[in-house]
Amino acid sequence: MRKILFVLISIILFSCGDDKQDKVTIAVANNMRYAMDEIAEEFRRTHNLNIQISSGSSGTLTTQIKQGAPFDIFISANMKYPNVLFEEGYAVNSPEVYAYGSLILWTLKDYNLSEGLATLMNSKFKKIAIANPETAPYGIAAVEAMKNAGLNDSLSSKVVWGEGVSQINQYVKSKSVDAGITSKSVLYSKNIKEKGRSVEVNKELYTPIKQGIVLLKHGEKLNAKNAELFYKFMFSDKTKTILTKFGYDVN
Amino acid sequence: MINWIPFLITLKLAFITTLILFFLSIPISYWLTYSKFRYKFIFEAIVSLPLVLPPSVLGFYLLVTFSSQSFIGEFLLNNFDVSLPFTFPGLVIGSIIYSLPFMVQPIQSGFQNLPIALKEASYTLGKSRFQTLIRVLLPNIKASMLTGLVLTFAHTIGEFGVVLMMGGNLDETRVASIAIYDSVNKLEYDTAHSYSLVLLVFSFIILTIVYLFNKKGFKAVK
Repeated sequence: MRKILFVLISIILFSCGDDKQDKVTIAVANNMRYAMDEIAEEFRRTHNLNIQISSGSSGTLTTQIKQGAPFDIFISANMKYPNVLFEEGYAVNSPEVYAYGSLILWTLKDYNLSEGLATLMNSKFKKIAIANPETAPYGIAAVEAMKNAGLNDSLSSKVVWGEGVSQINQYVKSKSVDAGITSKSVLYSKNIKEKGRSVEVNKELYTPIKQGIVLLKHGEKLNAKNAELFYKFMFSDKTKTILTKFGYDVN
Repeated sequence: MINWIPFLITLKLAFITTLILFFLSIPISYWLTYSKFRYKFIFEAIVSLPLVLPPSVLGFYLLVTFSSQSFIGEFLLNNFDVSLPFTFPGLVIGSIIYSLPFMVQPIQSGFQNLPIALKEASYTLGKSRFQTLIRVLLPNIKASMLTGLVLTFAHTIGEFGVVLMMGGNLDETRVASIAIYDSVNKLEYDTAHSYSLVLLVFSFIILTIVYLFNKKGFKAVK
């Protein structure tokens, strides 16, 4: 009995020792998750370096970075959080914009969305999912767009608040809501087989969603060469092509 | 194809946590049972706290306590070059606290159900306290110990909130429950389904085996 236990424990203990290979650890905002897998793959092919991706909402990742999370680079969905990190001394450089995000109105139900946000006034739409503007950059833009379209008051009873775009996407995908306002990038995810209907929200209705990237002190201190390599890669033509493919504006 | 690494990390975490907690909980339970200390109830309350507290509270406190920004975190980093948040050892410490009552309480109730005469007889025959504990008391609460082991193991497998706060979703700390959350976030429902199914079947098998081999012991716990 003891022998079996000993063997079992040894197997478990030694089964997954961490391999100290060259890699870059990046914290990625949820909306960038779909594009990032492809960018990471391209980077791996070009530089023969692995990327470890940790994704979450920009707010959560910022908290973790402040608490000492071992991320080399932070790829955010806005400029606010990377700016805070820079001002408080967690980042090496002030954030740079690597892409502009776009908002879409998205549904998997058989509704016509051609009139844009105004369609939501229709009584067929009973629940509309929007990301929480307190923490999610795409939520701030969505609320702003609704306000500028003059819909805020009439729609407020229909709104379901989600944690971030990834939760909005889940709500829409599972059809728990009639429509959601989310990041355009979701439509290009390989995990979406049923794309439903979507329409882009008029860009004049919201402040452009500037997405910022910063090199973190952790990366600069322990992994400078690889981290800087990836940072540069995020502004390369290869990355820009992928970002464009996923619905971002890069200029 | 399923990536099995999150399951290995989960198992490793559960094994190590259970092992450490087992040796930690015997003296704690012994003391909680037999001590005549007036304010013992305060410590009983502390041990039971993780039962009531949301894991997010526990994870948040652990994160803040061991962060490189805190006094303790800085001390560990400067003197021992140890950083606990976002590492596997950090998860082990989190799990030990999180699962503490699941080991202590069954063992404690095992001690409490033993007739006091058993201990007294052993003392009368000249055995020391330690010998009495090892040779007389513990062999009589095997069922309670097994209950503690299994509950702790199972509880650690199902851990989520603490890891979410403390783990940072890195390769080293991505346990099965986090991998499921992550794949749902990525809208990879197929992966989420297979992970969840594996976890469900695995947990069911463990519990079934234990109930099968230990019908008597579990009756005592109820």
